[in-house]
Amino acid sequence: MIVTTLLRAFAGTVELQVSGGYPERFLNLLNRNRIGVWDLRKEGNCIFLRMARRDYKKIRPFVRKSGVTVHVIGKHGAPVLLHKYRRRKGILVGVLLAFGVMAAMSCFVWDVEVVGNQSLSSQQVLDLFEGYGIKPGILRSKVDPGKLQKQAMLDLPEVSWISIYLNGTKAVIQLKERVVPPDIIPEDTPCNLIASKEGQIKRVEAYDGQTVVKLNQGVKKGDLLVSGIVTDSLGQNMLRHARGKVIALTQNTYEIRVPLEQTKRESTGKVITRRYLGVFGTQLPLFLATPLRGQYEIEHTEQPVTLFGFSLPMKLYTLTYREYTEEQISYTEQEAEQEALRQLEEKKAQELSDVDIISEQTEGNLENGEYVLTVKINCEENIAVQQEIFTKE
Amino acid sequence: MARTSKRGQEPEPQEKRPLSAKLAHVLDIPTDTIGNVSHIEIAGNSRVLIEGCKGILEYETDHIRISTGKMMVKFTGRNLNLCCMNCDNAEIEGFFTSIEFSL
Repeated sequence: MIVTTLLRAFAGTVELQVSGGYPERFLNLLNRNRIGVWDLRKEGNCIFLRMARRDYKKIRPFVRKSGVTVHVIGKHGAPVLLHKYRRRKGILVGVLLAFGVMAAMSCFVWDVEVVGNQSLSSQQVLDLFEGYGIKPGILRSKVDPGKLQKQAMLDLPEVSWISIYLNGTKAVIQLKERVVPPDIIPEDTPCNLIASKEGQIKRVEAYDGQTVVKLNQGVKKGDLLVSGIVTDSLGQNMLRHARGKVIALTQNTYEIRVPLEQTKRESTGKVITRRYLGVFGTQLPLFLATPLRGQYEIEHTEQPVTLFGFSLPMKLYTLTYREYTEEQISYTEQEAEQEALRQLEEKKAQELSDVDIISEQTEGNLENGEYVLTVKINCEENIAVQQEIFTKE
Repeated sequence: MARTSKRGQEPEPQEKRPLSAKLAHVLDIPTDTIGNVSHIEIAGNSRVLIEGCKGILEYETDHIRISTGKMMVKFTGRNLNLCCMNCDNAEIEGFFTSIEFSL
């Protein structure tokens, strides 16, 4: 029904008033000559009806035959509007201009999107493609996917597959990141176990290979612990893939410094937000500039401007100014010690999570207005790391 | 005339079914698909669609009489209006109170 109405409106319609004579005969004549009419209504002796504009020109003989009088009450549809506004060239120019601008604008890339990246940041990829010339504002025809894909594959070693395609005015860069295999020496490759740090050997659990260190022996970093070259009872050498754990007593020393005089930033709660509209590389301020007094921390965010879900070639930059005051605070020795201990715990949780701590020696003293906490941690840990034996030239 | 007088003498003449209706029955297809039969569709008592309308005999707001070739159909009601008429189709809207068929 909507389609019919639209088609009729497009072709133009005429509303007629039919009176006198034999209106039924008039309708039958129209019907027989395939002239469609609709919206008929009878009021007194008159029939009101609508017909297509092109059919109106054909009805003269039928009017005469049926003896009715026909009055045009109204004309509707596109031809009437065109006739009405025929002298208003501005509208035509505006419509043509709108189509022209739309056609011209659709020749450009207005947005570049990165899809499928996980560890690689979108900005990194966007920056790389900007180097190739792929940035908002370039002509669509300038985008050569095949060439760009090859170039990007060479420049991004962490990507296993990359594709660029145009979706309307948006260039989409789709990529898949390479899963880097862990650096493991294959089981059949001969290797030694060497020390990763200095320590005193406490326990050796060699699953394969020949142990060359004794208990309670001290080793330096890089010393051989378990050899991959095994000599059998007949005196023959065999190459093995040495595996095992070498637990050694090691000492880790940490030094934590906490200044007694510190400046602390206290937020006053005053926040000023300023927005800029970025169009083609220029930033237009969307506020009245007034000088700022005081000290502020500035937070910078940017987001694309979208209209009905389509992103426009503009960006909205938001600068959030948070006012703060600087305050000098001085720690007492106890407070500084507590702070240092807190930092030590954090460090231990980070670095010594999978080792056994045997003993801990802490020593604190004041040095040039700083509290220095020196910690010596004795722990038992696995110091063995595999090192390949290169047998081939 | 002779035929009319003969039919008049018979007490209850047997209505003869048209060939198209018999054929449609045998082939198990709708009657209006073959032969020159009009198709009338009624939605409630407010809208009627007539396919195979051959002409309008009377057009008033309380009754509309339509010819379908072999018979005439009279729709009686209130505020009756032809909403659309083209080729062989006509659509009537209004509040129908009765529909009458006559030869």
